[in-house]
Amino acid sequence: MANIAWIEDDHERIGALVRLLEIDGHKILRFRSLEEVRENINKIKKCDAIILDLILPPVEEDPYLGVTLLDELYNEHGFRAPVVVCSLVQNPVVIHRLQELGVTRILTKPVRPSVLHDAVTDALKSIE
Amino acid sequence: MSIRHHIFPEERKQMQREALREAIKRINGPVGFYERWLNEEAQLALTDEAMKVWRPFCSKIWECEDLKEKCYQDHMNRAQSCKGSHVDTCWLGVHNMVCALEDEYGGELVILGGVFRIREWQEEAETLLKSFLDTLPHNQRKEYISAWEQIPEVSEEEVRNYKMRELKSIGRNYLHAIHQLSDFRYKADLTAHDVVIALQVVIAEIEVLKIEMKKAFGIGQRWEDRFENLISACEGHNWYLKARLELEKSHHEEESISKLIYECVDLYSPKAKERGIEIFVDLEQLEAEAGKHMVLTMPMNRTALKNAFSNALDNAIKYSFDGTASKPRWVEIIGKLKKINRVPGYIIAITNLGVGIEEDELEAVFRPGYQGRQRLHTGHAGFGMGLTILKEVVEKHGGQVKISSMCQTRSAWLSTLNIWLPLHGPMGRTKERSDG
Repeated sequence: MANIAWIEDDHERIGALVRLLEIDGHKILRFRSLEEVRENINKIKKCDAIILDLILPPVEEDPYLGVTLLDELYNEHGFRAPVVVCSLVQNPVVIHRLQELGVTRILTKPVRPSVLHDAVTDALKSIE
Repeated sequence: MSIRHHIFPEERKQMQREALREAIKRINGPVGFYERWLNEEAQLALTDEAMKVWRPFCSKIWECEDLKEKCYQDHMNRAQSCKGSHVDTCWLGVHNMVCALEDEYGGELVILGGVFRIREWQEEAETLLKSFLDTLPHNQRKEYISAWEQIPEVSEEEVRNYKMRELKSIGRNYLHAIHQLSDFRYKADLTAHDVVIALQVVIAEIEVLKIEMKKAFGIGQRWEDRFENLISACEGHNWYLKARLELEKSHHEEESISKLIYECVDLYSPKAKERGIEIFVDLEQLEAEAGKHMVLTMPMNRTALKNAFSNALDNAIKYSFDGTASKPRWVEIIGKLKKINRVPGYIIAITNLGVGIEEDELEAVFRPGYQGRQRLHTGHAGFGMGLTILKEVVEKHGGQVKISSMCQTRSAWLSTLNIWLPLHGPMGRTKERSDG
């Protein structure tokens, strides 16, 4: 079963979103900010997939820190596992940037757990 | 990402165009905006209006590709190295104002304004012009000199004390407008974020509950449908929130109304066909002349209007009776030019035969969450938001919407949704475009 990093500042409130993945036996590692991600970068680099929100604290610094984080993961840390973006952001400029970075799938909140489950499952299958 | 990402590209262009237009009017000369925002590539923006006040000398330069490129580079270089504000002489001996403004979000705006000959700087300007003329064939020099002499002559005092002040004022207003809109959007985004997260909690918990209960207790279809309706209701509220936010965007572009309608028809034709329903479309165009087909366009928020029409068409199909091979059903879309209160407009009538709306509900169905009594029992999933948002979209465009529904037989009603939109749009603009 896979280790999946879930980078989401509201993960305590919307924990049910990943329950179907947990029921399948995947291990979900939760991180809520850019700082937490940087402190645990080695753990994240070993994950089989990432579920990523784009709006992360501190929002005053950059409203879409998720994009900055993704850039770092790809370019500084050589991360290559699939990334499923799950965010309410629909700004076309941001979406275009994500597509340029090569994310596996972009889901718009609110999303059903079954949809997220299928997206992550398909993403994990693609690397087998 | 800079603060400007809260503003959509079309809105930025519109604000830029308006600021440039105002600047051109106030200093009576061409103006260009050189903008460099955090993490974005620098750009030099000019408009068609600038071309109209260009002096013949500049037009001649711009007609030659090599000279045009050299001029463009010269503008960019001067803008990039500009600090503060000053009057500048370009490589052709023409004088411009260059005014640099910075904002607190890391943006930089440099305005290049005016094409003048400053009286007190004549000697230097003529020297530069001579260097350029020496590169030209003899027979072309007179034309350039004559055009250069048509550039208005102004005093140094007038440029520094009056025109420069106008340029700075326009630049500051432009930056202020960018901040205001970005700030508003950012706050709207934050509010939307909180509402969406609340909906996300509910949707996630309900779906997981449905799946777990189905697995644990084997709940039947009726219970599964009830869970599904709860989730759909939340998703419907989310759609309503997004539609409202889309509607808040103020940009209206000239678009073809018939093209928009045909796109909606293409989208829903397969669904209609599955139920044995045909969609007939008859849209009146503007008077054809000598083989040319006039396309009617009007200013609109295309995304919002397309969503609204799609919803209207979806409703018409949803509440139609199913057709059969021997008795096909139809949904009819008729478009006609029509004046209301002497205002020229276009009315689109979407008609279907099926489940109707009773007379006392014809106004109520536009209220959020309201579903007609007859339609409520059809079992079709719906949130009662579609007509609400349709009405808001149409009214935002300066239009009107009404429903009529007449009982034909005991169970069959002929219902028509009439959407009227003014040709001149909410801001009094319209354009006819020929694509013949």
